Amino acid sequence: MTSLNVSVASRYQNSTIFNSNSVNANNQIIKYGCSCGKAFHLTEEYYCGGCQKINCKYCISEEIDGYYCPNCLEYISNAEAQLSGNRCKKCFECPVCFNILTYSIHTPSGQTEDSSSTIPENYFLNCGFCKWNSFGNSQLNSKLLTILNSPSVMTGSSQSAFTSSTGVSSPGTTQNQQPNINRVLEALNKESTELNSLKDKKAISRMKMAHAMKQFLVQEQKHQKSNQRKNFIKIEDKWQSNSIPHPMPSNDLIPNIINNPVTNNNLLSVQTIKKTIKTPVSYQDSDAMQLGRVQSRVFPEVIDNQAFQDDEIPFGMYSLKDTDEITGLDQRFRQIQIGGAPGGNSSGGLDHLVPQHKYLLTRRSKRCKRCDRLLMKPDIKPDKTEFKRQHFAFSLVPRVTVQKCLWTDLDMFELFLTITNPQHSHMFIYFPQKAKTSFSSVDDNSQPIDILPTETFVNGLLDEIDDQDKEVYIQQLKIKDSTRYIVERKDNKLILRLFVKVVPSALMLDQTILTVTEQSITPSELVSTNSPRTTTAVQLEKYPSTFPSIKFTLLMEFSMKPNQLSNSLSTDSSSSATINVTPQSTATPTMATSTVSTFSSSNITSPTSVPTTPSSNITPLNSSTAGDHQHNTLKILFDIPANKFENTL
Amino acid sequence: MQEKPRYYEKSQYIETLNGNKVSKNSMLCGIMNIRLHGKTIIRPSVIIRGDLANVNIGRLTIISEGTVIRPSYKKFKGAIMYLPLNIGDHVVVGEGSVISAASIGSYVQIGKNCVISKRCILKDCCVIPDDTILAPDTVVPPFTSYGGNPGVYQEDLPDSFEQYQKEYTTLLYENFIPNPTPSIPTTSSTLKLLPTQTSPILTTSRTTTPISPLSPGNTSPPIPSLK
Repeated sequence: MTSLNVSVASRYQNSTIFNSNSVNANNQIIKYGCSCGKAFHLTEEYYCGGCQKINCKYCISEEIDGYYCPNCLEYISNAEAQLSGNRCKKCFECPVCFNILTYSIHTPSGQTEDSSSTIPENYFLNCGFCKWNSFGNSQLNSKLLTILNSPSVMTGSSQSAFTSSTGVSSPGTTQNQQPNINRVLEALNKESTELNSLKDKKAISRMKMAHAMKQFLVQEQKHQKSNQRKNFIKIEDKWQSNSIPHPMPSNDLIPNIINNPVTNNNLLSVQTIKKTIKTPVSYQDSDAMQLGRVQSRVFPEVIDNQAFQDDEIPFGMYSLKDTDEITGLDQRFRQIQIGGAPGGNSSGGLDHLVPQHKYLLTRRSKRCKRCDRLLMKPDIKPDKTEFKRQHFAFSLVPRVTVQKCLWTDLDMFELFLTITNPQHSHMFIYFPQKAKTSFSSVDDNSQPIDILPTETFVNGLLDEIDDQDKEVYIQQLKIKDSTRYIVERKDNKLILRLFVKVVPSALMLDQTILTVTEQSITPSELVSTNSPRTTTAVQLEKYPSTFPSIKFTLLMEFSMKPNQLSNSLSTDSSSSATINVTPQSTATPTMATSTVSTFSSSNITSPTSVPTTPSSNITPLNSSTAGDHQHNTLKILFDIPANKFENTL
Repeated sequence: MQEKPRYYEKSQYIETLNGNKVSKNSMLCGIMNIRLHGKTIIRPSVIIRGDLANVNIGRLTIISEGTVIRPSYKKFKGAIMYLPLNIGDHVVVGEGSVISAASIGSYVQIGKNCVISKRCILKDCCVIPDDTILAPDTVVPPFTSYGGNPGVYQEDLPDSFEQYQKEYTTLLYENFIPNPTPSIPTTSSTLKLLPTQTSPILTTSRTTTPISPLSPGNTSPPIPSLK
């Protein structure tokens, strides 16, 4: 209807373990489609107010606001984090179980009083979980204690001081490596910010194009004088003035030539073409290639006394009595130093392990990739959970949950949906009926066939006093509430009933079948089952499910302003009366006209008091233009496992 | 899929004016020191050791079957000092967990069979998945999930977790409703007695009176810094 250019969406695995099948299987059932065609659970999506669309994790760009240590919850600035290699200065991680180590004080049994003041050799690191401690480790003991007692560690020195003086990693490597890495990081950061400052991707693609064009058209370039041409190169020249080497983004437009990729300026010259096209492939060449393929499958014999690197036993493995003494993969990975010098313990025993500084976590703000609007900005303090800006889809978009689903026939079931309005004002929802088939997901095996045909509303969180004309409209809608579709209204929730038919391929569903099935639904037995609790008491007839899980897609439009209200405001009462007439409407014609009359009368009296009416009056005839920015189409993808149905055989 | 309503026998639960629903089969020791802030559900066979130190439990918090809440202690100059345990709002604790944290923030999910060891600090908006063992003195920062054995950082939570948890706990509370068909109350509600302890306040009998919403006289010692 409005923004119906939604592409075919597909369900994606939720990105967090929290929403995964093993932890929260319910969060896999309903997914909201992003405009990019991917669908995730609502908690993982954002809603951009600028483009009025849902943003999935692929449609946001992230920015690191700051770092923090997960243990001491201390905010660490970008520069500081860079300096210490993204590690906390104070907190250590157990090398065996990765738990946080605690500082402990050991008072030797001999001296009691004066030891704490004079002799400093009594601090050690202790793991409260696996009981690993630096104290009992004979090899590290003396060195560790002196470092721990040195004021540098206790006040928080860099990691290099710790590792180099323990003598475990080759001394100096990290100290030398760190500034180098910092320099590289700095250059990279600078480039990335400059690239980002170009803002639009068009500029980058234009730059790429110019670069490619230059390669092909060097000769012509000399004679060309058009201003447009100059503009093309201007962006690129920006880099030449800099001292930084050209950070050209990977350019697919330039063909990759093996010999000299970028330095050769004329790709179309005879020489370069000759260079790229070598001597043609002869029959002998192809034969040799064939032979080579055959031979490559013959494995060379292993000579007995030839030792391979993999077979070497790095340390006394055979003398080991307990296999728990060997380090695991995780433990080895955590021991890897920045300089690539693992300190000779990459395959050693547990006693070689050294505690590492805790890695920092980040606080990130998120932006919309389409319009660059800020979607989420966290508080900079690590222990705060407030947000400076929050545009979560979860708190802006009507939330849909499956209350229950019941088979009514072999290939048909009724579905009870709870629609929750997370906002404070009323929300108007509508299910677009036309072109049902073209918007379903690829792997759908069923299709909603009987949904509420008219617009309805969901109450806000608090019953705020709304615009008067809206109130009237809501009253009007309430009268139209048909028990066939609307089961219950409660607070900011609405329980809706709809029918879904299982079809082998939803895309192939014919419109003619649709009409037949709609007639075949017998509403009499359905209306009787008004309350959900009474149906559970009745013994239900069981049906086998043809699919292990039922998948279908539902389109829903929502807006803060009623669609048909703006319609009826602009046009005369006769058109609003036609809207009133619905096939299942219980309202008599007289009732319909009466509501219209009250409605129009309020319209006459209220316009001065209601600020929203002028805006709706601006767009008189065609409400679709106004609807383009008001109405938002949501694509809700369902994936209900058959065992969730109450009467699956 | 929405949570199914969970019915309970009205005779088996105590309901306070604040909307707390406490099972009669739970074991609340030192009721004077336990403070429920309203709309809290405590299911059967939960043990809360209020006799050790103050226990504060926030609104819309659900504590499932078999959970033990036991304030932690710290040795100070030879003497053992118990720390009060604060649990925030909108917290869900799974079945069979043992909790002796120093504090648990709001909007926290703790799974089944977890062990939250001594003096752990769980900040707001965090998740402890099933079968996690948090080592003593662990700090769980906001918007993270700590899992495994021992519990270490697993992943970041979705940013809208606070809203999600709010809705989840309210739904759980609203769906915890008395059984519509009144059945004969089972008289065999076993009276459980605590093993004798050296604690000052000790209630050994099951009380039928509602839990006092206010604890008289805050006698708990100030929380010592954990550094």
